[in-house]
Amino acid sequence: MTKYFGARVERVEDEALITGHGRYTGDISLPRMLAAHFLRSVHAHARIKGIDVSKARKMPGVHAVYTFADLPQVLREKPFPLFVNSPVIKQGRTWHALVESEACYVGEPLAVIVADTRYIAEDAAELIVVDYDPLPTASDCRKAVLDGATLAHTDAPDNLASVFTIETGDADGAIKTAPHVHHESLWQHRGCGHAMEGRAVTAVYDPNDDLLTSWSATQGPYLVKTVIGMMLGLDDTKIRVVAPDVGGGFGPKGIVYQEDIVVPWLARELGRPIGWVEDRYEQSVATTQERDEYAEADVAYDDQGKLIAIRVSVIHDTGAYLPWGVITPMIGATTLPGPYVLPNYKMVVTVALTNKVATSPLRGTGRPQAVFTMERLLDRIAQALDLDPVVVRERNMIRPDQLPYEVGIVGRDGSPVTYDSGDYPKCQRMALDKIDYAGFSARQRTALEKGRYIGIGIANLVEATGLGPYEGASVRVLTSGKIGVFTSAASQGQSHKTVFSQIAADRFGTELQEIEVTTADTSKFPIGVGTFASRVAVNTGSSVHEAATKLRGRVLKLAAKELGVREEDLDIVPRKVVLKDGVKPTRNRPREIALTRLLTLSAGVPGFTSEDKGEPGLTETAFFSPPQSTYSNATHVVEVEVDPEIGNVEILRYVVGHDCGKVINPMVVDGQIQGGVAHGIGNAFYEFMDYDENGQPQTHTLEEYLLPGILDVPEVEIVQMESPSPLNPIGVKGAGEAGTIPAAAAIIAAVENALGPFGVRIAQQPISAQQVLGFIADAKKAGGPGRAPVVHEPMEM
Amino acid sequence: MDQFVMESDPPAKRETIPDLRRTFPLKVNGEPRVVTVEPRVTLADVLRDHLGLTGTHIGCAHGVCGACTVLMNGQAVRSCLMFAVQARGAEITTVEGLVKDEALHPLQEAFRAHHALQCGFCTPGFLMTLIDFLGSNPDPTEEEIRQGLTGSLCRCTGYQNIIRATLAAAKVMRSETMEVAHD
Amino acid sequence: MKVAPFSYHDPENLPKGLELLAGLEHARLLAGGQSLVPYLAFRMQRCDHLIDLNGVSALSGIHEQDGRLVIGAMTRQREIASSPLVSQHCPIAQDALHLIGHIATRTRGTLGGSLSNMDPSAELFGVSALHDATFHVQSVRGGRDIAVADWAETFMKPAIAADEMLTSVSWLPWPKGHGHAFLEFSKRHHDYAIVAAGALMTVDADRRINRAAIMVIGCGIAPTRLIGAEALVLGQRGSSELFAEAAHEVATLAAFPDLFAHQGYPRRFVSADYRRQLGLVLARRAMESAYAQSISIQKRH
Repeated sequence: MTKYFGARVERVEDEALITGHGRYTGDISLPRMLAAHFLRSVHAHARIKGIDVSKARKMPGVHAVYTFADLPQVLREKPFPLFVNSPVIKQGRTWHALVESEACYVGEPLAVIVADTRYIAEDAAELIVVDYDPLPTASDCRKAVLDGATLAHTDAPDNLASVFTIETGDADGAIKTAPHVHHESLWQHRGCGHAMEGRAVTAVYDPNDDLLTSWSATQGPYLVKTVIGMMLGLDDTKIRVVAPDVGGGFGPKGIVYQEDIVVPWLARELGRPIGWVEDRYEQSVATTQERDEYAEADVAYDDQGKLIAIRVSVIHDTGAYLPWGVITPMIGATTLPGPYVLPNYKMVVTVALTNKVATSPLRGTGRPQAVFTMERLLDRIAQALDLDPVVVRERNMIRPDQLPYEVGIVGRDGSPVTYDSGDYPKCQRMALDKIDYAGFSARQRTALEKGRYIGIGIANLVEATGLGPYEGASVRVLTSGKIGVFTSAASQGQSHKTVFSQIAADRFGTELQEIEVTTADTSKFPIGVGTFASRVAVNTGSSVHEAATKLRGRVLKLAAKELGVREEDLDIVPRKVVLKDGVKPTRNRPREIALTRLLTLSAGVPGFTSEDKGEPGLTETAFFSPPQSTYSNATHVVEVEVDPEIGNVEILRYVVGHDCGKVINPMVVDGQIQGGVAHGIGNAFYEFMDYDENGQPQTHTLEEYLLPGILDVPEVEIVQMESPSPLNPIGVKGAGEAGTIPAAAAIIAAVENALGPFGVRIAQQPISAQQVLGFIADAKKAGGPGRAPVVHEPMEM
Repeated sequence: MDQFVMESDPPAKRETIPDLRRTFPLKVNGEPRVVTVEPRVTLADVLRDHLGLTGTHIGCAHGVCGACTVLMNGQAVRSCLMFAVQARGAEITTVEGLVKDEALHPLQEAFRAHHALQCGFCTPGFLMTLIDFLGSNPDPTEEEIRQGLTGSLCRCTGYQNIIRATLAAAKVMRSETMEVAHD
Repeated sequence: MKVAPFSYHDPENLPKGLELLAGLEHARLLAGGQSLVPYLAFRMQRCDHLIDLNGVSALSGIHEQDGRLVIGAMTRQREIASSPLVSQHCPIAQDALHLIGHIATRTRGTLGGSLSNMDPSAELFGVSALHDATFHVQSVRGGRDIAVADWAETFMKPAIAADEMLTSVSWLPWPKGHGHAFLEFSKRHHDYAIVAAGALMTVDADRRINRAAIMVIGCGIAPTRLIGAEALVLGQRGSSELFAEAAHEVATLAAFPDLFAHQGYPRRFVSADYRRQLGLVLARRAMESAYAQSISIQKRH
């Protein structure tokens, strides 16, 4: 039955959220709860010679103040674990729960105050005197990698967290002999997540059960639990972590932070519930983000515009720590080839430590940078050979009959990058037709005659989704007769509960409203990984699919026995199993049996031998472990108009061609794409997390860090196709990031195209109106098309 | 951060002086309430922490994101930029007050029908702003809706479904108004 | 980001308010709160006393007096935006208000608060400049009028004493049927304007400009009336060339400032060159638009 799979089903999450009855972490109020507030370093790099908290402790309403020295041995002796380690990491630095003696970014927590209210805690924080000894700051990742550079950590040999190479073929050799080679310098900056809800932790310790419970606005409750166990030295049976309603995640909430450990510790230490809510300033400076990447790229190609080789050397700013290893630049490195045949490829990445908050995955996670690099290079080829940019892409595109296609490199998931299914030329053609690409030249000419500058840009993406190692789900008959789905998946708006309900309702064979999904609670489902990298629909969805299917089988088998008929004669409807129409009941047996009755029967009778030698109860559990990533793809085509007098860019049309395999709920996927594009528009024009040369954050309010508003985001026209994934039972691929990843690349290509008459070349993101005018002026000075002027000074945003 | 201190820094209060607190009445979702708080406590914090109405969310606490928007005497205000004491004697409506006789408001229905929310954190702010907006613009164009919602940020949806939901809800609300007029 | 403690005062009338302002140390006036409360929340500014003017009803209201439009300092932006008197006499104010903030901020934000805060991008200050405004301030020592050109003392500080309060503003209306245009540019739609320009214009039967008021915001700490431009266009028929030449006065503004660099103001990433370019373009476009409108109004008469 596929009544719900593929349908635009209204969300089960919405009733609570639209009536103001959502339960976000900061909404949780417990009796005798106290408020925590963290005092944070105001210097990007400083030795902490002393912290005098004596006046703060005396303030009425303050219950406790702790610095590193006050923490228990178990929390002091080791830093946080490195979550995604790798042999290429030379310095896998992670933070301590509180700064021990050297603060390495503005915002790093030095002390925690616990008071009756947050108001009082902030008052008390002002009474704490920190004896800072400011140290030289490593604030520019390009400088940080040079010999003799200022050290981000005084005890480090250098600022090189990692240097790694991803390659296939022989790029160096091929470039030497290629007929055409072009060099490009690129600078990309992706900024912050700025989910509408900040981070938050509410924790309570129950001595009766010896159970520490923590609610956290996290994408990974199971990871949080593991780290609490490790850092506090607690057995995992003593810890429960719940991700309740979470107001957006986008990557940074997947990291386990100092507050995730300190707040639960405080709850145990003080024997009172503790609540902590991050404010917007803290989210700007102390929550991870993606930041700067500088790339020097060479592309070699033939007279037809076919790629021979690409060689890139990248400097990636990881900030002061690497909580998530080098995943972001690694994903970028393995994404760059995209849907194109690239026989020789080499990317060398230098990951630099700086005195800024750590970087981490952020919607797209390194892929936007990779796509931008590849797509700019393809446009350069088109410009050099005077070819249509689409023709260049078509000539290089992997054909559908070449799939499964081995790119030749090993992916972030440890397996060779193998594109499993997809039709990239068809998806691109679909998007181009939708925007009427064929008619664009004429549109552009007409506009130019009227003094208007319009342009079109295109960018393609192939994205590894559905990463392992696994997720799982249990599906069972509840005592109410409804069907319970239990999983680990944490949601921050991705409509997981609805999507799982759709799958379970179809596979078990009942109505959508009969399904109750419980998720993201470590006490309700034993094990899980987390929500990131567009992996939950694939992995948890597949698990729900398997478990619900198995449960249907169990239920029918038991019902058949009880009703004395064959399984094929039965059907499931809400709350019961019934004989199909036309089937005669067995003598002295009813036509139907309630699920609750079956549940009772399956539990057996106390003291009696069970006839059924199988498992008691009506629960089925399944784990899905993908053999490798499954690859989605997308094409973005954007039409823009540029005002050459003030540099303003308006988006005239935005089309996305998208393939994420089989679509469970088109409404949800469309919403993810529209929302993803909004973020991409932010990356193209508005979002810049600025730091000065002393590592001081400059954009720490929403008036300075600009998020796209409703006037900045047009309607995205989406054309969907489905190349089912062969790698999971539901044929699904991930869909959360394809709206963002190619967006800035396509938009900036369009801006460059609009300014073609001036010979502008752009190789950076974001770009501001002021910079657009600067590009025009530079191009005029250079007398026409030239190498893209890369503006390295952050001030010129 | 320091560059914005416009005047010399007076000493911060060292204690919470009880007599700084004020007691005052206000109406919230039609119910008379009495609140006793320090004047510095915002309306948003009073609604959430003192009155248990956590449907109003604090996204930024500096008046940019709009998540905290409630109605004061029928008009949209940013509750994070008002001290609760300023609402004395006023009628405050929050998202919890939209449901009437267990029926969802047309805006709420429309938001669900058109997938106008994902994480839901910004949603109450949008709903309350729209109540005010549609009150003066019962038949808006898409462009007018965009202009009316500039003060509400959403990081999840990309706004388009919010616009669709608003158009649909406005239609329902107009026909309901006509029904009432004809009664 | 919780506000530091303060004592709260809610005077019920103006004399009481002035008394408090004169007598209390480290006191701030609370008008709409849309600018002040964020500063307090960040603890960038603080006060021991907050004097809430929202209960002083005498400070609100719009009326005509002696040929001028008088608006109380506590009048809400929302009220000004929908006022028939403003629509009739000073319609450009409503053009500007459409671009100022958002519905919720206009509900609480006041004219006086905006003028007293003196953010360099404050549109209502520019509207006041176009209408040869007079600002009335009062203290326990009495009242006085300040011409709009004399209002700004320095960056975000009006030329008033610590115990003085803006109580009303009067605008000189333009006659019915004048052309008006208000344009601004910000980094993102509906943000604080980097630069804004406003123009008021009337033409004679021969389509020659017989009156013009032109101003730019964001090219200095206060709005600037382009007096030279106004003189240049007088008696001329409008054209893009004429208005471009007139707009050129923007470029000559004394020591065109890299406006906030020395203040460390967070929005300093806008260069002086870019600000100048925006001023030139927006001033020209505002003139073009106001002229076009005054022509079409002329045609209808």
